[in-house]
Amino acid sequence: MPTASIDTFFGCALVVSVALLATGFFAGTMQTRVDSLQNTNQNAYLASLAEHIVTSRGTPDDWGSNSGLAPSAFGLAKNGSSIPYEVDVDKISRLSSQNEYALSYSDVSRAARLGGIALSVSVSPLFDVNVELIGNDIVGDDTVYSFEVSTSLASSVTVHLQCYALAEGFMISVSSETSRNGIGHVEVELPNNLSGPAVLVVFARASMDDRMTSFTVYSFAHLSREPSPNNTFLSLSALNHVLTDEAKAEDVTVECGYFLSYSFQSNLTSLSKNTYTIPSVLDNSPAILVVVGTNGTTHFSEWVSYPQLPDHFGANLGNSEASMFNYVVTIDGALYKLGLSFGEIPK
Amino acid sequence: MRLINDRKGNVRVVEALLASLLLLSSLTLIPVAQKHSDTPAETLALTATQVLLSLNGDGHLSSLIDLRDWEAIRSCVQSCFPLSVWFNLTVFDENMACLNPVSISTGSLICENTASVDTVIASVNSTFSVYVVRLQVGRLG
Repeated sequence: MPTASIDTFFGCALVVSVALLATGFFAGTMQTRVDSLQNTNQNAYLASLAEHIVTSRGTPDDWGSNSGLAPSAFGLAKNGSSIPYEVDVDKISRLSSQNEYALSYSDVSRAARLGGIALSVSVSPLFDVNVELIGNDIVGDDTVYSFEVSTSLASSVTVHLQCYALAEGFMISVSSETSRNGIGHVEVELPNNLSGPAVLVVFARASMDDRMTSFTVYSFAHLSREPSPNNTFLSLSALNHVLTDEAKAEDVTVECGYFLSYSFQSNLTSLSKNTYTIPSVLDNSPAILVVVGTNGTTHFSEWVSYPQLPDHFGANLGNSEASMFNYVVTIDGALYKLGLSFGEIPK
Repeated sequence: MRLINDRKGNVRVVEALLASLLLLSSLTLIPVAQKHSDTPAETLALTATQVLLSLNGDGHLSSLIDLRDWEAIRSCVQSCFPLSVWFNLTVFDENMACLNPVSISTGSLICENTASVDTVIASVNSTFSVYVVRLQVGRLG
């Protein structure tokens, strides 16, 4: 074979391979662009869906407070509200799996017309409150418990703390605030003639806006063994300003209940054997309902918040690609974080 | 004669190489596709608008502007965003004159993916002052 033919063969092979490479690269580039456009469209679609869920009331308007009703159209907005992004306390409560009247995922999926798109909902206070028991000391007839309270807000923000300690039928309230390093100290005294599980309910309110009120509940032992986890003896459901308790054991006896918020406290008024009225108060604060009782000879204190916040409702999107939309919403005058996550749109 | 043919072959190889280089260099002219961002600017803008509307839901934000309490405004906005979000807020009057003499932000901008929204809010006091609030947000990292 002449040398010229070999040269031409190599030359042509080079040109063809380069042309193939260029075509492949161009096709890849175009495919990425098309995918990017599809992602943009998908994101816009899901953003509209999230906005609709947060700003529409659903059908019927009062599906949240009507415990026997599942909505035909899903929306969380409060009926008749003039505040932007105000959601209904009962609609949120019905997303909590702890609530007796909770909606199922299929109810929500059907009512929201998700069409196979996975949905996850989470609601939490605007900021976190952390409590740590740092010591206790017996002084006379009382035991003094010292707690350290911190929040996830910037340390420059002064946070006012309103705390309630409950043990058996005894309750004491204490006020405090965080210092410049963002940490507050609280001391509560419990009488030594009581013994059993105790709870410390902490409300934290940011100084610049009273709607920024968060809470946490800390269980500790008062001259007794470690308390059982919450919801061991009772199933508590808060809906339509009524608290319902359901005993989980035969020997459970409920003694009394308390309504606690940042500015108010009161005893719960019994409506029937296992239902109580939740008072309506003008306080931009979540409410904590504490029920005290006995299981045989063992005392317990169990609690539920109102709104009954769903840590996580719906699909678990932990290990898959999801589009997240976060909102700051108002529930009964207080601000909360509401997160909506959607899975991928089925192809 | 054979030597001349060999040289012609070398020249063709050089031509082919040059043509290849020309084609390869033309590939650099093709713009690189935009990488899809996890938090597109539209989502950031939506969140920023929503936060401003919620903060001013009961007229609280406009009250803080009336009081010229820029530190409280910064704390309020900061509390509504996660730490991974950068923001810069500017308050204008109805003539678009800047009212805040200090920066209301979480520091210098160190992210590329940003969005900016303007919202008009009215004071709830008797003067009904009108403010234009510009909130720029970006996701860090």
